Order: sequence, then structure tokens, then C-alpha cells
Amino acid sequence: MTLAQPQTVTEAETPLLEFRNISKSFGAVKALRDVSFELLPGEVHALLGQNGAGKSTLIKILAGVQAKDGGIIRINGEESDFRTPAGARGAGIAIVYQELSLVPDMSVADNMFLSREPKRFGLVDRARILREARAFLEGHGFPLDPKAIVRTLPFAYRQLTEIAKALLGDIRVLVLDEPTSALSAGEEATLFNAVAEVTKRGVGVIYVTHRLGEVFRLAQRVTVLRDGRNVATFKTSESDIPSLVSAIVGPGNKQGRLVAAAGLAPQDEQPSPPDLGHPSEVEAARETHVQARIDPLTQASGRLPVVELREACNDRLKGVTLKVQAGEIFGLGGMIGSGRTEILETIFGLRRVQQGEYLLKGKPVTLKGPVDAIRNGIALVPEDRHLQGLVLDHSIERNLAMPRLPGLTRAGMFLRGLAKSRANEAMADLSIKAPDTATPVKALSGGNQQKVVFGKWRNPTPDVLLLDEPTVGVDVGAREQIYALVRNAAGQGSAVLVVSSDLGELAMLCDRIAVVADGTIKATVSRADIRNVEQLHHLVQEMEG
Amino acid sequence: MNAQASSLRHPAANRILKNTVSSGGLLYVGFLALIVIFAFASPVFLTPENFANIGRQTTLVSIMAVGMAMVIIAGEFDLSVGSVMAFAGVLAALAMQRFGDVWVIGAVVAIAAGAAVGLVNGVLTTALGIPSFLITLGSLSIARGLALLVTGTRPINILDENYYAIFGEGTVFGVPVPILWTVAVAVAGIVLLHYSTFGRQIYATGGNATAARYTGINTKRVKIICLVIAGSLAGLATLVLTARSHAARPDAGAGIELDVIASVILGGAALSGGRGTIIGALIGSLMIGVLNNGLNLVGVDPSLQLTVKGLIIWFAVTIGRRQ
Repeated sequence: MTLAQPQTVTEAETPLLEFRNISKSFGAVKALRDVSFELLPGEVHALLGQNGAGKSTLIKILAGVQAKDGGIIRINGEESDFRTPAGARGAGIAIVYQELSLVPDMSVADNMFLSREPKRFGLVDRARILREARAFLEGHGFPLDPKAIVRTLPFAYRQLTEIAKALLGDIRVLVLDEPTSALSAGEEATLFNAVAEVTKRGVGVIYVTHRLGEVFRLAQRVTVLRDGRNVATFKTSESDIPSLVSAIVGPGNKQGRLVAAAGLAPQDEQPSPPDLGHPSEVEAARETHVQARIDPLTQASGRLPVVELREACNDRLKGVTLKVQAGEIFGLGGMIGSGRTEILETIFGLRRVQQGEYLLKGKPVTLKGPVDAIRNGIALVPEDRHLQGLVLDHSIERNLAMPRLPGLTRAGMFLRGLAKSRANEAMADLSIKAPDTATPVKALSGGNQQKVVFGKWRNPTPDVLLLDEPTVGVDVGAREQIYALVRNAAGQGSAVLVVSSDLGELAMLCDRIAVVADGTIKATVSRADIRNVEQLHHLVQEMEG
Repeated sequence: MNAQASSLRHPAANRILKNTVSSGGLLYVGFLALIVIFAFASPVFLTPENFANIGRQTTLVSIMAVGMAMVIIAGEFDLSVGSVMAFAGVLAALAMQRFGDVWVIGAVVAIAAGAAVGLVNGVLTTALGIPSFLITLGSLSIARGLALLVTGTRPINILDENYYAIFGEGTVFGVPVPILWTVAVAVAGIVLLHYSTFGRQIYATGGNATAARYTGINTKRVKIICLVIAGSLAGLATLVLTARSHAARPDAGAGIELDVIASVILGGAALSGGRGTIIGALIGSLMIGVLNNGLNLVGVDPSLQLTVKGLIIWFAVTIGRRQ
């Protein structure tokens, strides 16, 4: 209840939360070495670093999930040492994880009040739950229906539910672990408003992200971790993206500039598209390759498109027309729920084309499902790699072999040797960081997991490569490698379709970008026409409106 | 690098060792401990005759555990195998009565009947999207009911001497045929699950059906085939049973599905699918066989036996999950 009171002047000077020289080892691996960090009341403090830098470990210690080996944690100046999630919760710390912790079959309101249901005569007071949840959601500007069943919500709304649940309690410290990775621009704004709302009440927010643009929009300070150590703490008012990037990737890493371009937020100054272009050889080669034969405005190259939809309609699509050629990277932008993902699902045979036409290499097709699609040379890197892309308990080798089983068979027997050598090749080619091909995929970082998903479709290169949010939850270094993989696939002749909420990513990667809204393509712009990402944002907003 | 080099030299041996350990190394220690305890408690336990006895008693569970392992690894369940034994057995015996007492007729009918129930289980599960646990709960009842119905609840005699010999009473080089059948099924199961491409599809389907589907694996087909295999092996198990008793009983195999499932789970398979081995399932079934046999020999009261068996299963599953 002390929370409800506005903080006094003295309190404002005491950090809400203070880490002093925290260290933590896992066996021989030092995950954290003397990490110090403080959070002031009402402050948004961003925590940056590549995967493996120690962010997650720090958060887990704060959550009471893991015990620190050494160092001191102070809350409101008092040393505290909780060792359970309940203890952390009791200390006023709420954590929104990337992995959602909601009960799918319960409503938004029931999830928010889970295990703290108001009671009436010993029974759950359902009316009150609904009333209070509604008041809370409206008060914080969350566009959520408290009665909606979580299972039926799109990913972004489930995430907002998770955040609402965390915000509901008496909390002093809110930890957001990559909250925007799957949010579209509008939802992002909603989230930022909610964050601003709670900081006004003196809550401190620790904000873990890979998107550097957000840091400047939201945070007052930013701490960068690298290899388990503090690299630096900056005031955002005295810093800029290039210096953050060089702190994150460390000295002597040439990726810095490119990463900065990829991570730029919309309102950050954006160089014109040619400058966004990529100096790597693959890109340069592909650039001339594609531009030589694709006239982006008319597509009058005379070549057959690899994938073509003509006024395709089904339960989610309302007349989608698009053509993508070999070697072309075609972006699909728009809000979550606009139909972007559904376009990919339709091409992949997960949804039927009920009206209109679907042509592959000029021939009309009706795909019965993914098996059919894959037989026709189509591959999908799905949005949710845990749910749809990987068997987490299985090894890298097993996961990589999955789509290629027919080619890895002789007389019905599985060719283990061949599968293993292919897996070793893939690991080297995609620089997947793991001890060996027998490592279970669940032990890998997000970026490396995503590389495994890409690796599944590496050889032979698919005719059509569908990518749904290919860099969600992937750190800056690995992100750049994934872009290289995408360009490489296009360079080898794949027609690539990319769905992304990150318009900067689309502008950098794609030859053409379609803006999707209401289950249809509202506009298509070519790379040459995009002056900057801001313009793309306006376009998306305009189409949605 | 050294470890890698050695694993390249003996990939098969290494893999089997790894699989065995990962599917519950401690469990095997427990299994050996049981044997040692019973060996001390009963003078008869360690005799070759008794081991042959255990082998024979375990055969039915072992054969069906191979099929059940595939079903469970594919992320499904088959509760109907006990009833299918009765159903397939009485159909085989009736067919032999009507069309002539030739073992081939019995064999074909029993296995086909088992496969047919498995096919129905599989098609209903995948087409309706209802968990196989529920579908096979239904078939458990239906198959048993049909067996009772067609026989008027009476056992049907089987007269063919060759039938007795081939499936139940014969020996080859002194080894009883039921044990040979078990070994044959086990070898086929190991090849299919651990060495064939279809085995890979089974693991992927049970590990993450959505990911498997998105990767071009026909997960419905995989599940149907696994359930057909489980049904067919229940048909084979019934041949072994009826060849020993010279009759097919409509009440045969009641409750045996629980021993079969327990064997697979004891052997390290994950209830949620994607993990498990044939060897594990076989050791699991032997463990249950040893328990039944040992408790008998030691002279534990039959009603107490069930309780003790349950307690030991709890214990074994707990240590199996702890590692």
C-alpha cells in the first residue's frame, strides 16, 4: 500500500533497485561478472546487449528464478535476498517474459486476476473481476476486450494481456523483456503509453530490447552488457545509436554501421534507401542481378513470376493480387491482423484459395496443405519458431533433417551419415553456435535457433521462400547474418516473401514492399520509391486508417 | 575433438549407449536392483526355468509395448490394445472353425482384425481431431463388447496343432517361440523407429506436430500408421496367447493395456511424445514381468502384490524423471 503514495524527495534519490557487483556462473561459464545497475523511481532504464551478454541471467536473478553467486541487491536502499519468484513478486517486481505465461483457455480478465481473484462469500467474484479488468484496461488505454479468450487473440494482444497482468499488481519495478518484438506500430504506441502511465506513478521500468530506436523514444538511461560485464551506462539524451551499437558489439566489429541502420526507429533520421543498401558482395551481386531484369513499376521483364496471386480470396483475404519473381525479395508490411501472415499461409497451402487464382511458375495450382506446398518447392520460416518451426527437445541434426527426409532415405532407411555431414555443413555455413549437431535446439539462443530454421531449407534452395517475422527475438549480430541468408537465397534464385513489423528491416531488405490492410494489398512501393522509413510508416498508417 | 573422433569410429555403439542412458539409465540400475533383491529373497528366482517363465509371461506385454512405444512417441495413446487382443483372438478362432483349422487363416485374421481396429482408431483420431486417448477409450469398450457378442461370452477352441507350435508351444534350438516372436518384433521395431526415415517422422510428429507439419511431414498419416502397427501387434500377441491356451477367450487381455503403457513410460518415453526408445520399452516390460514373477515367488499376498507393484512404478517413474 506504500506504493500508492507519491514518492517523497528523499525517496526519489534512493534507487528503487540497485545491483552491486552481481556475479553468476554456470559451471565454467561466467554469465555475469561484477555487474552493477540501478533503477530510479519513475525511470525507464533500457538494458541492451547481444544474446548471451547476460541480460537474461540478470533478469532471472531479479525474478528470483536463479540465485546470484555474489553481490548485493538493494530494494529502496535495503538489502534484499529473495530466492523465489513469489519473493520477487512480494518485493514489488513484475516481469513480462518473452515466453508468454497465460492460460490460453481463460479470458483476458481471468488471466489478469489469476491466483489473486477477488472473493465473495468464499467464491470467486466473477462480476468484480470483469469490472475491475475493464476499468484497468480502459484506464491504461489497452485495446483489449476483458472477456476475450486468450487462445483466440493474435500474438500481439496476448502480449498486451501479459503486460496488463503484470501491471495490475502493486508493483514498483516492471521488467519488460523484448515486449515489442511482435507488435506493430500502433500496438507499440499503446504499449509505450502504458509504460509512460506507470512511470508517472513512480514505478521503475527495466526495458530489455534489441531495437535501438525504442531506447531513445522511451528510456532515460541505458546500460549495455557484453560478455557478462557492464560496458557502459549512458543517458539517452547524451548518446546516439552509433555509440550504442559500438558498445553492444564491442571493438573491432565491422557490423556496427549496418546494425545501426537496421535498428533505426521510424522517427530517427534515415538515410535515403541507396545508403541503406548493403556493401556485402552477395548483396551487390544480387542487386545488379535483380535490377537488370526487374522493372519494379511494370514488371515488364517478360519473365514468368514464380508466385502469383490474382484476386485471391478466402476467410481472411479479400482479393490479394501479387507477383513475385525469381531472385526478388518482396516485403509485406502492415499491422498485425491485417492479413500479412495469412497471405503467406495461403501461399503455403495452410489456407485454401476460395476465389481467384493461385499460380506457381505460371500454372494454376490448388495446394492441399504444407506437404503439397513443400513438394512444389515452397518453404516457410514461420512466425513462432518454438511452436511452428522447431522440435525444441530434438537435436540440431534432427531438426535440420526434418524437411529433407525423402532425400535422406535409401530403401526406407534413414541415412544417418549423410544427415550428419549435411548438418555439419549447415552449422558451418550459417555459423550456428553450438558444441555439435547433437545439441538440443532448446539449448540455443534465439538467433541460433532461427538459423536452424533457415538451415532446414538451405539445400536445395527453395523456389519460394516465405519468411514471417524472420528476426523476432534475434540479437543484432545474428540479425545481420540472417539478412545475409535471405539475400543469399534470393541470389540463388528464390522468390522471397518477407512479413515484418519492422519497416526499417523491410526497407533495407526488400526490392518491393506491399502495404497490407484489411486482407488486401493497398499499395506496392518499389525500393527506389521509398524515400525513408518514416514515409513507409505514414503509408502504413494511412492505409490502415 | 577427441570425443567426436571416437564417436565417429563407433557411431552405432555410441548412439545406443547414449540413447540407453538418456532414456533412463537410473531405471536400469533399478531394474538390476529388483533382480538382485528377488534373487536373495527366493532361491528359485535365478534359475533358467524361471527366466524362461518370465520371458513367456512378459511376451504379450513386450510385443505390444513395441507398438505402444511408437504410438506414444508419435504423441498419441492406445488404450484399446487389451480389448483388441480379445476381439482379434475370437475372430481368428471363429474363422478357423468355419473355414478350416489352418494356422494361416488364424494368423491372417487376427493380425488383420488388429490392424483394422488400429486403422479405425487412427482415422477417427486424425479426421475428427479428437485425442486418441478418448477415441481408443471408446474402442476399448466396443472391441470388448463385440468379442463378447460374437462368442456369446464363451471361449472358442482352437484345434490346429501347428498353430500351437508356431505361436505358443514350439521351440527353436531350445528357445521357446514366444520369445523368438518377441525378439523378431523388437528388431523390426528398432529398425523402423531408430533407423528408418519413417522413424524420424514419428519422433518429429510427437516432438512438435505443428513444426513437423510445417516442414512437410504428413503427421496424420504418421499417427494412423503408428496406431495400425499397435493394433496389428495386439493381433500378434493374441496369437501367442491363444496358441498357449488352445482357445480364444472374449475376456482375454483385460487391463493389460495399463501394463503395456507402464512399460513404455518406465522405459523413458515422454507422455507428451517425441522421446522414447524400443529398448527402453522392452526393459520396461521385463521390469513389470520380473515384478509380477518375483512378488509371486516371494509369496506376497496377491492383493498386496498389486499395491506393491503400483508403489514400485511410482518410485521408478520418479527416479526416471529426476535425472
